[in-house]
Amino acid sequence: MTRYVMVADLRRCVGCQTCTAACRDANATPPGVQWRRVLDMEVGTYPDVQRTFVPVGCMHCADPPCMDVCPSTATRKRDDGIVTIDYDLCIGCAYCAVACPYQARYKVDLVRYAYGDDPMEPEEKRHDPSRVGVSTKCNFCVDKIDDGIAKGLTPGVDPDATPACVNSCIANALHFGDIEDPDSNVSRLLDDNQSFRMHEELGTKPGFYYLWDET
Amino acid sequence: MIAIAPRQQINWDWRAAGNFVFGGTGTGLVAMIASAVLFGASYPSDAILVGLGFVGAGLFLVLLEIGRPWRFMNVFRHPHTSWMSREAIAAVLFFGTGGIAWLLALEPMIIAAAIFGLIFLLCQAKMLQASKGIPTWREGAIVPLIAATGLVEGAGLLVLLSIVLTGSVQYWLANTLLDLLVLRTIVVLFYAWRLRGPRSPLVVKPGLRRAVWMAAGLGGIVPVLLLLAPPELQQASLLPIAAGIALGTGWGLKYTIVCRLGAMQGFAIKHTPARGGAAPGTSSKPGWSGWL
Amino acid sequence: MPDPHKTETVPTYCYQCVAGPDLLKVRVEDGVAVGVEPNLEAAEIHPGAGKICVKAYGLIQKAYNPHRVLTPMRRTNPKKGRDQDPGFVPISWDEALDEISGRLGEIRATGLLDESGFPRVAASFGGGGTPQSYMGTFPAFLAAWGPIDFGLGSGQGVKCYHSEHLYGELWHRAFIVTPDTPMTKYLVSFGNNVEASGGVCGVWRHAEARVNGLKRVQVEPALSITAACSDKWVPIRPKTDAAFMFAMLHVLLHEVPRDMLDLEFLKDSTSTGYLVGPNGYYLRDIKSKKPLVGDLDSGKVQPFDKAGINIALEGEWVSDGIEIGPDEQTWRHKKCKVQTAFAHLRDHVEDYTPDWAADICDVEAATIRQVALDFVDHACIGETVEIEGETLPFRPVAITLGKTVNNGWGGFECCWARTVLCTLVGSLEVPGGLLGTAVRLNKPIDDRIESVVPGPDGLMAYPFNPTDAKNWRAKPKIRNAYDTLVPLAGDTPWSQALGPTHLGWLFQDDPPEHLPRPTLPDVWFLYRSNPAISSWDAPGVAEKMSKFPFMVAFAYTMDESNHMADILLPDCVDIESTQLIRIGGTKFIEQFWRYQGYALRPAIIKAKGEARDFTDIATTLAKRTGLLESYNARINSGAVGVKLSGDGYDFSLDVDQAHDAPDIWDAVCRAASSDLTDGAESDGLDWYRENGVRVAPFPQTKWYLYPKMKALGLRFELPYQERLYRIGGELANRLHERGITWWDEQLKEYQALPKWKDFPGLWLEDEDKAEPDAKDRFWLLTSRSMQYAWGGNAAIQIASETGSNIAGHDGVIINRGRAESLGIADGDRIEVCSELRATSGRAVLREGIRPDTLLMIAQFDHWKTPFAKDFDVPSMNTVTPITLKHTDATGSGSDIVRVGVRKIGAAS
Repeated sequence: MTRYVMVADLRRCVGCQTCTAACRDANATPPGVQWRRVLDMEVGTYPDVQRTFVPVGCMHCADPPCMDVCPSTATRKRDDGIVTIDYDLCIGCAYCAVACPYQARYKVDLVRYAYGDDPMEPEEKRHDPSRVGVSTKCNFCVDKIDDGIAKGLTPGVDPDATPACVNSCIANALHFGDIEDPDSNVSRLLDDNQSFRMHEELGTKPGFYYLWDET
Repeated sequence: MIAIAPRQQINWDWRAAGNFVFGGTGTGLVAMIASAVLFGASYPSDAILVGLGFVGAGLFLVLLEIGRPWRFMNVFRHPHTSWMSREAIAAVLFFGTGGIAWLLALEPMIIAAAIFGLIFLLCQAKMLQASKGIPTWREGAIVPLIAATGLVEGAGLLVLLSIVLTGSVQYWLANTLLDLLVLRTIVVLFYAWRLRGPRSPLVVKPGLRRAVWMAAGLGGIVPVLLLLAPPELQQASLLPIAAGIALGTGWGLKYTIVCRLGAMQGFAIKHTPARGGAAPGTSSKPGWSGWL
Repeated sequence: MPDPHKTETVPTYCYQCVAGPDLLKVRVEDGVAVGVEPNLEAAEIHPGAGKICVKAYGLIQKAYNPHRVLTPMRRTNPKKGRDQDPGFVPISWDEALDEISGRLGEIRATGLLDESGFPRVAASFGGGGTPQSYMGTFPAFLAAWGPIDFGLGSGQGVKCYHSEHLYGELWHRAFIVTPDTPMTKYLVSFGNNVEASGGVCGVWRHAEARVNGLKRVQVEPALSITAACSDKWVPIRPKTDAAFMFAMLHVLLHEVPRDMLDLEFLKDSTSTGYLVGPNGYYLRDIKSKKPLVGDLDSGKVQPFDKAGINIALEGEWVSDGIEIGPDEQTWRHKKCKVQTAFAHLRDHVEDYTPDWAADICDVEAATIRQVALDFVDHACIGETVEIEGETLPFRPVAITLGKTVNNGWGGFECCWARTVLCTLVGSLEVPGGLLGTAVRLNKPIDDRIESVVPGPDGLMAYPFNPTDAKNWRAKPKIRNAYDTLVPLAGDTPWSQALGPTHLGWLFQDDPPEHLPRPTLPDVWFLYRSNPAISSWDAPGVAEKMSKFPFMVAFAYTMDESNHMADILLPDCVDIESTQLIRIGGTKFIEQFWRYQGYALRPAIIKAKGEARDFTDIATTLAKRTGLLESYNARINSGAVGVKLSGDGYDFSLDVDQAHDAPDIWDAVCRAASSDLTDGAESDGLDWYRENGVRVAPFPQTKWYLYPKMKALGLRFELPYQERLYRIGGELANRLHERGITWWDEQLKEYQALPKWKDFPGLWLEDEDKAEPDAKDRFWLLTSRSMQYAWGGNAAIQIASETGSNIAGHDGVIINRGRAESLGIADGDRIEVCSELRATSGRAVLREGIRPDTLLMIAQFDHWKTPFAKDFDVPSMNTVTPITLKHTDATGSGSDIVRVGVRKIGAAS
């Protein structure tokens, strides 16, 4: 079995949003639709304050509430753990969006562009009408992963089989790979470090791990 | 800056709320009519049509909300786990049986319609409960709350329809409304109690208090007092007022739950990271009263 | 030009900020650039693993932005000013160039200098030198032209690391100072926000170091991104950093055992042992005039460079000798009792105890002491490390400074104290320690190590502007008088922009006594610079710009500065034009490469509208002004970064012909290939277009100055600043001879050992003095943002979108408790008012900031730039006055101002 997961090293992340921009670029999402983004969290009161940058997005849960609630079966979980949306099936009810505890889903009804109502050439070229009025979210750059695997590449190791956010990360904070493979990069990181997952108590079994200290 | 603490969801607005409002009222009404059938009481036969109309109006509002309305048939594809698919199937059966009941005036079909209506109402309640991203919706007490609210609204609406269509309200119906109001008040208080302290985000607390005052105070105690008033005052004025309040506060409560108390989960971390030689820190769950 | 029907990825570079260049690829579909991605094929050669930062992802929007100016334009309204509609109308390139070359021709006919001796042509470029990587061959045109005033500032001095640039180059060829991050174990950062301003390499290296156990203490009034990622945040009172470091010096010199310092380094590699005479100048050998030292072995006083001596760091010595002061003033001494510079330093900091500093800095004495002790504890005195077969000292501790700490008043004291602290533990220019990155005031500008040449007294040479009576420039070359007032600024092509660049603006209102009358340039070129927004007192600068007679702006979009222009010229943006630049070696902010070479920025898409490649614009201007031959000759001789001929190769251009941009850059590419391969290869433009970069190895040992200093037998000029002290005295003499007394406060900065002054007090306004504890008075500061810093990208949507994910970009950060005590809630509209004027914006309540401080990250008071003008965020540039009072001796100010705050509206 394979389960692809994301690992974010909170010690490294600086909240620069390069992954946010890279994701917007790679997936041609409209302004404001950030499948990958980084939170700027403040903990404590002055002067005992800590500030932490937390990458978030779809957690590709093993038990994804979005999939259960989806009335159209547009949201599915692949055998490799990646949760996908079939834009041709989705009715845009946004039920998945309220079911997701990670605020990872976006639904855009009105087409918007970077500079108003008219698209720039690249936006026009990359505009995908099938994404209008439906739910969208991070898919771990699934097409790239599939293409890469078809070429014999290893997701998370070879850039051509790795999500854009991971390739873009300038702090080497984001990592991607197969958690079921004990020798994978992510398995080693999780072995060598302490980690947590967000909102685990909700029983979603998220596929997004946060490293916070060495073991 | 990206909000960390829970804030109101914006995916479902008044149109979605309208489905819960009208769906609950319509199915509640048909359930009350079916009660009349079971009790052998009379009822205004066209009220069934009103019930179907309410549910239909609610679903029409949903059509206005969804991004791809012409794909609405896809809603039926996932009854295995989706309460929305189940709601849609229940709606079809409800309309089928209810329509036949009205067209052919077949009382067994009214019972059947009421059953499918109650299933529809249950689906709506479970739909909210399955919304894991919304702390006030996923609370289990939302199920009896939505059910009780729908039934109260049904009873209240039947009272008003009875007055309009027949000029009087039967004793059993007034009693049923009274009983259901007491039940709803208890359920509302239970729901609010379940969301106490760290069980719901801080941002919903003021709205939750107002909702309790509205539904359990104005919507519970006032109609009960009115219904307990001397019988000679009942039919003339107090009963329709009580029914109206029961109905209005139920609608207000559901609108509030969807559009005001629908704060999302927000974000939380279990540890701030170790940096260099510094020790890691504690957990953080901004916007909640307690720690993880 | 790319095949319009092909899908491809084209390698190029991003040099939008000073932390670059970084390498990327642009995805092109059917001739349309649709996206960018890091050039991970360059991961092995690039010190940031081939990645690019968030700004590079705006390059596509930058090219296709519908707000671009895409045709030359002429102003029709002769009146200028913010309130005037310029009435720009489209004109042809011929018309535009006719008008410009007509003006330039008149200047050539009447003389290149005006009646004040200032160049009639001025040019201002923003972005800390990055525009040069986009202006093609324009530098060759400027060089061919002759004298040009590059000193009309757009914010440098107040926005840059100004004192660090100047003193850093003097002490260790460090235009920018940085830790040897991957090897550093303990770093104290005074407001250096490297995670926001250090670019890809800064973030990459610090993240690696952090996970490897680098301990970093961030001393800064606000919890910046860097503070967030550090072990410890010490919220210090603004502008008191020098006191903190002076107290650290006290701890090292009075509280820890001597042998915890690197005594060997101090003796042999610094001027610490030099004896100081009664007048504060080195005691020198009467004959050779060499500084004297005490020899512990012989017990005698000897010239510092006598072989085999064991230099004393302390003790009282008695000797004959001379002191040489300003203008060769000489004192002769007989049996004079003297002490070493080290002893003077020791005594100098005796009273600067942590307890003394605690009150000033609002930081507990124990914290200051602990930082000092941790610093010395981590210094690994005596340890060595082998780098490429060479054994070097290993001293993994460093101190970095940020903007507002290392510029303006107090900047000298901070730079000095930081460098001396590292000197005391021997961590200067050795592995793990404090390094310089590049030189800009010393030559050769592209080789820091080669810029190390012997100077007087066993120290490095430094190209001071002359202060002697014969050579001092009483008549400055340009309007900001850098060569008259700032000896440290030197006189390289960068010096004009590293002088007191705001004086060019200030003097317009307030002409300086006894200097030539300030004049306006007849023609002013402006490129990638928006002084009407980015300068301190930006509205005041905009007002002054409106008086300029003829302004040519290379315009991306309409903006606040080109609002005042007479001609707008649309140049190609990053992915539309061609240029080859040098990459590699060592360069600010944290670019330490193991390679050096060249990278190409090819024209990836067809230019939009009538935008032209800057090289073609430069060539046309050269031709029309009769400078073509000289222009081509400048290109041939290396004005655009590569000399076109060398041993065994010659790709020189025919100087009589005008050449198209591709032909010029093909020749440059061929010369670059030959340069890197000793003539073996001569690949041209097509090869670079395919491959992007060509590099050759660059040894890590060249990251450090120490080996070269040892090889030349040179010493670091630390801690005692005898030479500066003397030069300051000479400058005072020169100025006073001319009757100039308005620079007297600045002259006080020339000290051998700097004293603490009440630096914060320099900014206190009358309101503060009248009511020192007023609840509504604050320090206003700013902080860099990776999304925007140097990028000139306020009009780029993705910058705004990603920036808004981070606290503070949409308003003014204020301490939550303090705000609530003033009745201010999150999102409320507040007015921030200095003695100059007010700005307003949303309050952003945060815990991570001192209660006496406000932070404005965004500086977008735009009123003209499309998109940016709708931000509705405040800018401290609106409220910070340009004054001589706030100008230090290097000619810089600080981005800090005292303000009052009041709520003017509730959150919407």
